[in-house]
Amino acid sequence: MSNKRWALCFLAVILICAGVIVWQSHGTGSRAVVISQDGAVIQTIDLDRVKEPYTVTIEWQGGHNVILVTGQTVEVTQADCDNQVCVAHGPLKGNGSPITCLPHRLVISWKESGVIG
Amino acid sequence: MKSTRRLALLAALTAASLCVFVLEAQIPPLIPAVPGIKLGLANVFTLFTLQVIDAPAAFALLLVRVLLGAFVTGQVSALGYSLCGGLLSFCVLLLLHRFFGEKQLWALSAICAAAHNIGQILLAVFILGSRAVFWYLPVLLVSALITGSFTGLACQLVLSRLRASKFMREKKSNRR
Repeated sequence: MSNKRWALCFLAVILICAGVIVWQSHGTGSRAVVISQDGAVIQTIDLDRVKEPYTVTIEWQGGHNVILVTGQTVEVTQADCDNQVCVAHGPLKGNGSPITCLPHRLVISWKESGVIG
Repeated sequence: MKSTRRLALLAALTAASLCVFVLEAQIPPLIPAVPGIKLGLANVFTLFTLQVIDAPAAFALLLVRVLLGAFVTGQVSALGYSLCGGLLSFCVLLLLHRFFGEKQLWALSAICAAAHNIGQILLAVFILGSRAVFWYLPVLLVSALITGSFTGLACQLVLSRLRASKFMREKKSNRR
């Protein structure tokens, strides 16, 4: 295949992905947040029932993540993992990306959000 | 290639690759919410080694760079993901290498970058046991195709300049 063909090929893949990204970011209107660790759901929080903001601490093999739950959203405010990706992620938005902490095997996502899962 | 020369060249390339990897780790992430988006400049050296030396040398360079890189940057938790991505990407590289000329390295590099990110996501899905991670796939594929093209292009340009200059030929004629 020529350079031009490869460029077109990649462009097509990028366009398809862009389409999927746009589709993904349409909110499902879910108001429930699922916190799972190591493949098991450990908590489901219905945000409509949250009156006062509170924090949840999730332990993992000597490490921890502190999750702040408000009526609008959830976010990881503090963690002692080595990459801090979960803290940098900020609050869980619309139908935005799930919050993941790979070192602590933690995933926080909207219930039935995204393409799958 | 003479074995001493091969060893020295491979060592220098590995060291350079590690340096670039560490430097790149200092650059703040473009999108903090999505882990895994980065330039991957260190892979210019993997590709270069495969072209100039051979496949085992490139594999050695990759392994050493991934292992030492994880320890030097202190992100040991990312080691498994780097290894998984690196191995899958190297397999794809070996399989497809023969079909790509030196003028098409950029495309090969883009495909390998995509394979790298797919490998990482598969491991994340496996370890986290949550399919929610697939959310990242389209974003990472777009970034991989773009950054992979550019790192591949960098390698391609360096190779064509080196082959055009006297550098490579001179070194060969120095051999006794």
